[in-house]
Amino acid sequence: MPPDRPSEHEAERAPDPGRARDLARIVTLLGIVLLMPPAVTLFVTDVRIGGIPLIVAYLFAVWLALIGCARLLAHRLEPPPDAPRASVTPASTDASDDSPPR
Amino acid sequence: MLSADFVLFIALLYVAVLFAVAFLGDRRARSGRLGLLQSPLVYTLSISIYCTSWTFYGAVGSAARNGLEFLTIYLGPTLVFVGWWMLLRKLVRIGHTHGITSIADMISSRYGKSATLAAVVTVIAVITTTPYIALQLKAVTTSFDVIDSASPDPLSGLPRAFPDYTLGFWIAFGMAVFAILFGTRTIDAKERHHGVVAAIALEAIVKLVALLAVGTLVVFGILDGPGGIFTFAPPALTQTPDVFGPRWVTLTFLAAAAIVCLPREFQVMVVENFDERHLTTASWMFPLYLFLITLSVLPIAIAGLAFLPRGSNPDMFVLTLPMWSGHDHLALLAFLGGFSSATSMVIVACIALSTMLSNHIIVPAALRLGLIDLPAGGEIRRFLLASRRVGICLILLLGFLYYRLSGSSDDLASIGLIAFAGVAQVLPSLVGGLFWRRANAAGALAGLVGGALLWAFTLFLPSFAGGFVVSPRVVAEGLFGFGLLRPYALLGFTGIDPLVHSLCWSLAVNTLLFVFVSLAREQRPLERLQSTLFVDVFRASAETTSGVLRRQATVRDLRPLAVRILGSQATHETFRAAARAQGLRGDVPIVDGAFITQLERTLAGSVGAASAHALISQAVSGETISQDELMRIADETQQVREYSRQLEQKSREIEAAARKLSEANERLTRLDAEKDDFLSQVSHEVRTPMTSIRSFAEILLDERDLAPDHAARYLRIIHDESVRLTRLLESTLDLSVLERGEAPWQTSPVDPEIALDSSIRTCSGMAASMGVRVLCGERATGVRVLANSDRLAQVFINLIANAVKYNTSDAPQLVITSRARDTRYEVLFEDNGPGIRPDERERIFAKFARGAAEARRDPAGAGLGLAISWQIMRRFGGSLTLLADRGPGACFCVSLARA
Repeated sequence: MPPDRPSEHEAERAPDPGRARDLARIVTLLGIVLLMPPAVTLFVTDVRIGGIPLIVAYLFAVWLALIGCARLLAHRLEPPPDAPRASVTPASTDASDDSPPR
Repeated sequence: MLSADFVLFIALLYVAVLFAVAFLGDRRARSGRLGLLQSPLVYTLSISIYCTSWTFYGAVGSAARNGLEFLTIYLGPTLVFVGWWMLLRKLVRIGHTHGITSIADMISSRYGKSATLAAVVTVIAVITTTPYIALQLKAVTTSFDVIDSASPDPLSGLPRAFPDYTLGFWIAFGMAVFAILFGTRTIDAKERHHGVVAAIALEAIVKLVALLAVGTLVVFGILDGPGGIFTFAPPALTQTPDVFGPRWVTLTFLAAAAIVCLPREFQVMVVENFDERHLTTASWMFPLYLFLITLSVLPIAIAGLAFLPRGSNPDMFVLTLPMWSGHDHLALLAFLGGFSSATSMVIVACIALSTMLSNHIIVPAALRLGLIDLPAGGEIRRFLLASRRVGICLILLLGFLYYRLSGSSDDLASIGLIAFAGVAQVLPSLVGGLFWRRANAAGALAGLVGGALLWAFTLFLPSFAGGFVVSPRVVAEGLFGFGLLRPYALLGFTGIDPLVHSLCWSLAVNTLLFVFVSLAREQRPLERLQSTLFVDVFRASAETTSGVLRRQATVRDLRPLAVRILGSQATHETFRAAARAQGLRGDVPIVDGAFITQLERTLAGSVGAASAHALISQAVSGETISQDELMRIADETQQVREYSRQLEQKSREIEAAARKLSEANERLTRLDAEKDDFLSQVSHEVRTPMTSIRSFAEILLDERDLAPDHAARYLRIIHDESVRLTRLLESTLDLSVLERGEAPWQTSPVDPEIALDSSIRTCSGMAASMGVRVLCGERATGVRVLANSDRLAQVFINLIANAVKYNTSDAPQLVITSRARDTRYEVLFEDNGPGIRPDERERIFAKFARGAAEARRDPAGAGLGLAISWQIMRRFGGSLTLLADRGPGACFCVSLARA
C-alpha cells in the first residue's frame, strides 16, 4: 500500500527508523482515506467476486493490507533493545519523531 | 437440548479453570518466572478485552440490522494501532515514566496533579461503564436462558419477559470475587495484575475460537461454502451506499477514541504494559485479532436472517444458529465464548474503575475528612486495599442495579455506542495534553464537564426512554418547553442521527471550551512543569526537573509515610536503592529534591499522582516551585533543538577548517622540502667553483716557480669561476627578492615589442656562434602593457638563451611570434630542440630544475633562469607557461594583460 514499500531484501538491512516512521504515517493516512467516504462508496455496486459482494471484499482487503503493512513496519519501528522501560535520559537513542535533527 | 444443570456445571468448571489460571499466573509472577506472561502475545490478547459480549453477540445483531456498519467498531482501533507510533507509543512511555495508574491519573497528572480533574474523569468513567457492565450481565443471563431452554421459545433468542435476576446477581457476585482475589491482592507499585492478565488472555482465545467455530459451521454446514454466503443475503445488507455516510465516519472515530480512552483499555494497554516493545507486536497482531473475530459475523447474520424464525433476536444468532442446526456442543462453546467476553471485560473494568475510585475519590475524601490521620500513623495501605474492594463491589452493584432497572429494553449495540460517546469526552484533554504545551487544568475541566453534560442531555438521559430525568415530553418539546432545547435536535439541528448529533455537539463544545479556556488562563507552575514533562517525554528527563520543585523533609518524615503506603519491605528496598544510587551504604538516603520527586512517583504508582502529591506535601516543608528553573526546563527543549542545530553547523565548519589545515600542512611540508632542496642545491652550486678557485689559488701559493703562462691560465680560471659565483649569488638574491615580493616595482605602460627586439638583438651574437637561426614570425604592433621593460627583456633574453643553448637539433632554429588578443599580449618562443619531457613539465619552473637535455649540455648552469622569469611574470600579473604538445621542441608562452 505505501508508495515505496520496502522489498524483502531491503527489510533485512539495518532499519531506517526515519523512513519507517514516515511510512507508518502514510499507511495510516492512506487507511483513513480508503476506508472513509467518498472512497468506499465507489465500491458499492452489485458486482460480486466469487460470490462475495465487491464492497465486502474491498473492505476486508484494505483491512488485511493495513495489517500487512503494520507487520512489515513493526520491526523497523521497534525501539532498540535497550530502550528504557521506566526512565528516560536525554541521551536516549530512541529517535522520537520530534527529536532534534542529528 | 442441553440441560440447565449441565450448562451450569460446564460454566462453573470453566470459571474454576479461570481461577486456577489466574492463581498460577500470580504465583509464577511472584516467583519471578514470568515467561509467557510477559510476552507480546499475551499483551495483545489482553488488549482484546475490547471485544466484549457486545462484539460476540452484538456485532451479528448490528450486521443483521444495519449491514456493514458493524465494521466501523473494529476499523477505528485498527487505524489507531497501525498508527501506534503517533499516539499509543507516547501514552505507554508516559505511563512508564510517571507510574500512571489509570486514565484519570493520566489526565490529573498531566494537568498539575489536579485532584478535581481526576475525580471528574472517574465520575465520567463510572457513569459510562455502569451501563456497559449491565450490558454484559444481561448478555450472559440471556444467553444462559437461551441455551438451557428456559424461555418458552429458545430459538427466538428473546430474553424472557421476567428475566431471572438471581442468575445475573450470582454472575456479578462471582466476578466481584474474582476481581477482589486477583485484582486487589497487593498494592503493587506498578499496579500490574499478572494473574488477571493470564486469565483474560485465555478468555481471549476462547472467544475467538468459539466465534470462528460457529462461523465455520455456518459457512460450511448451513450455507454452501464461502461462495454461497451471499446468495441468501438480503440486498440491503451490502448494497446500501447510505451506510457510508456521516454515521460511518462518526462510528469509526468513536471506536478509535474508545480504544484509547476506555478505562479498561487504558488499564491493559498502558498500566499493565511490561515492555514498550510489546506495542510493536500488538500494532499488527491486535488488528489481526479484530479481523479474525469479525470474519464470522456476516455469515452468521445472513444465515440467521435466512433460516431462523422471523422476529428472532439477532443479538443471539451466535447461540441460536448452532442450536437450530442441532450442534448443541458448538452452542455450548459459543455460550462459553460469550461468557468469556463478558467476564473478562467486567473484571478488568472493575479493577480499573476501583483503582480510580479509591485513588481519586475515596482517598482524597478520606484525607480531607481526616479519616486518614497522617501523624497518627494509620495504615493507609490497608485502607487502600479495603477501598478498592469496596469499589469493585460498588461498581458491580451499580451494574447489576442498572440491569435490574433497565430491564429488557434496548438492543446491545446502542448501549455500547452511548457508552463510547461518553468516554470519548476524555479524548480532547488526553490528546491535547500530550501534544499541546499550553493546555491547562482549567481548560481540561471546562471541556470535560461541558462535553459530558451535553452528552448526558443529548444521548445518555434520553436513552432511558423517559425513565430518568429527561421525560418523553422533553424529548419531543425541548427542555422547559423551549423547542431549541430538544435533546435530539439541539438549536434546531434536525434530521441527524441522534448519535452523530450528540457526538458532534458534545465533542465540539468540549474541544472549544478546552482550547479557549486553556488560552485564556495561565498555567500554574506545577501544571507547566507537568506539561513539559508530558509533552517532551521523549526528551526531558525526570532528573533535569528535580531542581524545579524545592522542598525539604527528613527521612524521619518520609519513611513512615512510605511504609504506610508501600509496606515496610518495599519501603526498605526503595530507600536502600536510593541510598546506593547516591553512593551511600545502609538505607538512609540524603533527602534532596530528586529523592522526594522519586519517592512521590513511587507512591503515585499506588495511590495516583494527585493523592501522592497531597500526601508528600503534608510531609515536606517549604514547597516552592522555582520559576527560573521552570523557565529553564520549558526553554531547555527549545535550546536542545537549537543547540543541536548549532552543533551540527559547527562540526561542519570544523570539518572544513580541518581539511584546509591539512592542505596547508601538506603545502608547508612540500615547501620545507623544497627549501632544503634549494639550500643543498645552492651549497652544491657554490662549492664547485669554490673548490676550483681554492685549488688553483693553492697551486699559485705553493708553486713559487710556476711558469707565467700557467699562472696566467690559473688566474683566468679563478677569475672566471669568481664571475660565475657572483652571477649565481646575484641570481639567487634576485630570486629571493622576487619571491618575497618586497620592493614594489615601477611599472609603466611600455611597448613590449621594443623589449623583444632588443632582446633578440642581444642574443643574436650568441645564436650566430652556436649556429642557431632565430626567426621572427608574425608580430603584434601598437600593443602596450603595464610592465618594466628591463625586467621584461630579462625574461625574453632568458627564454631565447635557453632555446639557443640547449638546442641539439641538426638545423637548430627558434621561431618567435607575438600576437595581441582581446585583452592579452602573448609571445611564443618555439624551438625545434629535444623539448621538455612530460614528467618534467611540472617542475621546470622550480629552482635549480633543469631539463634532462639541459643538464647534459651545460652542467654548470644554475637552473635559476626559468624560476626567475616565472617570478617576474607573476609580479607583472602575467604568466609564463610551457605549451604542451607543440611539435618536437619546447614552446614557451609569455602572456601579459594589455594596458
